[in-house]
Amino acid sequence: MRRLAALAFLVASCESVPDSERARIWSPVDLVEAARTGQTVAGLDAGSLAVPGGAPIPWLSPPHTSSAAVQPPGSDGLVVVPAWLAGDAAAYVVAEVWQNVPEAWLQPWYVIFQVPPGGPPAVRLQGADAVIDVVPPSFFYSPFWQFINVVIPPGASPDGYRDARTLVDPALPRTEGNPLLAAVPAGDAGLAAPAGTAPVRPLSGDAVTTPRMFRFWVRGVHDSSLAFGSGGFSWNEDGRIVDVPLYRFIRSDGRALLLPDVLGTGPEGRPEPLTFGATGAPRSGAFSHLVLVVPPTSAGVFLPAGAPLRDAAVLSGALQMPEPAPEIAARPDAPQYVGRVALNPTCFSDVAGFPGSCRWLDRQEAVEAALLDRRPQPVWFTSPLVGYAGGPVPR
Amino acid sequence: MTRVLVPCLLAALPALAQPAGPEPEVGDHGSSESAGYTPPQATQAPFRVSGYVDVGWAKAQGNGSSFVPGDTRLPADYYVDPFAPAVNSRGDVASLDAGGRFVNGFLPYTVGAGGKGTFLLNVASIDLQVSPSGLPVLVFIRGQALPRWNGNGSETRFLLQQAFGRVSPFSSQELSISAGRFDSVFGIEYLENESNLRLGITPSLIARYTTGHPLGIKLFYRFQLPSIASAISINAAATNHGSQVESLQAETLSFTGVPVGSTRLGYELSLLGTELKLGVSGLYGPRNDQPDPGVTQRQLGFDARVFVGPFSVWAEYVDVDEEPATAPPKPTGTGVYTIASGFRAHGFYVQLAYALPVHGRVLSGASLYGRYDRRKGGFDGTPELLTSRWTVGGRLELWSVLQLKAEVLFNRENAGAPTVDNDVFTTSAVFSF
Repeated sequence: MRRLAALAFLVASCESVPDSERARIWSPVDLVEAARTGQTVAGLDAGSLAVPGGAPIPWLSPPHTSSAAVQPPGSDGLVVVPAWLAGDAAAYVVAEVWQNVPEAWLQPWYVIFQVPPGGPPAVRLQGADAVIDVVPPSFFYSPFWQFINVVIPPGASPDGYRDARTLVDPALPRTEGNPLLAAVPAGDAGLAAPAGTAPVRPLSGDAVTTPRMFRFWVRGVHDSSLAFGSGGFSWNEDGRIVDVPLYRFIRSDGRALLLPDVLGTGPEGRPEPLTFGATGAPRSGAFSHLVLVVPPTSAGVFLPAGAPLRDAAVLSGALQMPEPAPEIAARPDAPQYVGRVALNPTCFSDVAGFPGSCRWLDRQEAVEAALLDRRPQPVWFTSPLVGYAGGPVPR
Repeated sequence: MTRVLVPCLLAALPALAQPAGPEPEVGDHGSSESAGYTPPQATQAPFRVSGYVDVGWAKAQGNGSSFVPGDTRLPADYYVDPFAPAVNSRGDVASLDAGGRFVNGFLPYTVGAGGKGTFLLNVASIDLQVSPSGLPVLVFIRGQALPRWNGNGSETRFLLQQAFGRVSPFSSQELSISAGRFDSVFGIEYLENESNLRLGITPSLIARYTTGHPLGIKLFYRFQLPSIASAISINAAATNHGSQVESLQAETLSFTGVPVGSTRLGYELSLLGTELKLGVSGLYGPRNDQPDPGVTQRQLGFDARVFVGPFSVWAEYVDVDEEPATAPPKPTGTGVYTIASGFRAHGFYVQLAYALPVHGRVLSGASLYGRYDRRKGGFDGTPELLTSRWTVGGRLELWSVLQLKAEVLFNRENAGAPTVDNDVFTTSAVFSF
């Protein structure tokens, strides 16, 4: 026993992995709680990811705007973050943060079907919630699901199928269906937006999609998820979700430049053409790896004259901020360029050539070709797209 | 005393008479109460060679694995018990075919037979023992060859199953200190690790937690209490990985830099025709399937053996608690996987054996046995699986050098795990020398 005690002391006195590096997944509930208590999440200010009721909404408040937009008291919201995806304006939310858990896997989301009394084909049983079998804190919990449509025997009650164990029976017919992005547990969070207004993509004001609440059973227990539709991700043959880089612009000293991020379309260093799912939603971006990037100081950011962000100290000296030509600033599509970084900011005055004459850093291949200082972080996001190309992402 | 200290290398022979009576004390793997090889130096040859060959035929139901076709939950090995369809004394299973699905290292080794009946060369094992005359030192090496089909071709894995040196500094005391790779000190099932020592063929459902071959140092001490026909012993070790089998935690290196402590405290009562052995085991230290020394594993176990005439009963319970890793990866004896999940399990087995009254020159022994195993365990966030197994079998011993065994495993998925056909019929012929 003394030996055990000595060993226990030895183990206890050894340096463990610090919390800042510890493998962990933060759910939407965790993010809201961290924001409420002013904590950091994987080294990030939780308040930049989620906003508790009564707090200013990032991107809709200074320094991006002249006055604060406040999340309605009594409601929590995930922050809508502007981004660029394959050269188009996009918006996403961080639904989960993965620290030091670099892989996510496609998991089955069982949907119950049954042949009606009138005969085939089998139809989805109304009122029968889906069934899943992995939840946090498992490292193999994943918000990336695939519908598995399982046909239970005629006349059988769905109440007998609230545990995945009963649905993996090879005797039950099954088909694979659409993918689904749904974070578990959902909590009460929606998307951040001031009272009386719908959530929008900051900087451009484009409408975005709002998530829905899906109910499910897990081993006989009823719970709910925050569902973002069927788009935004793809997976390999073995079920591994393809992660794409999320490039975030920073100063060389590490401070974030508060500009829209750039979402990739393929694994880091291997950009792929953007593809779309059956609903028309882009199939990239929803599982992203945070990579900090330092743009050259000769690059410039497109900001209209009078944009409050021009006064942000963090931008000073990090990027050029030439005023766009009045003709360009007056273009109806000008909001789609606000916050976009170009390697040759002189193009902001090129009335005839804009925007084609700009070498934008608004897509993965452009960032990877232009920037030498890339700093990958041990942080991944469940980052469902809610806006793309000026409108909401189709569910 | 002499009986207690019979060397391991004689194990093959006395083990032939082992089944239902009090088991012979057979060195390092022969008794948890034994320090290992402590031969009476004066009576031993300084260099000895022995060993055995285990040839079997086995057939499992289904595809030979516990995986259910069409089950897409991941990791696949978190939703079934891959260790259930064992076919030999090493705990190798008939198949690990998960249908190409991702697994995360909760796996035994496999013979790759699938659901087909097949002959198997389970192991060819050779022991070398050097015990310099007059010195309290012993050196022992057990080398084993394991021919297997790996899915792409045949290969033979060579294994240093044991390799250690041992010092017994006091001739008047049962005290010894060993260094190297040796049997676990946890519980009692490691006593039957080798085919030629095992009453039946396959290990129990909880053997994965107790029957590894750790690398490190250990100390054994036994104190006799002749006035009450009793003895008390302690076996303690500081090793790289603890007592789990190598497929779950590798013994070769400490990935955390901190050793794992394990110990067993035993009590023996020896009366005429009756023997009782009780033990309590504990283990604590960092998990050796991840890199953080602050992530611990803990095991607690109880064991009992009763020998009354031709009957013997073995029973063992173990409780396992492992914290989740703080960082990838998950290195194990079968490969490097994603990350180690938090895990809890407990289980037990009870084995009853009966030795038939045969003591001829040709038929030197015969036994019937049955065992019931039950195990409940699960990883963080995934279902807790309750599985059980009935094992029934018999064995014959011929000329005291050949064991013929046959047994059937009835595996049951009682809760959490999908029902699957994974019962096993297996046989084994063990030739010892």
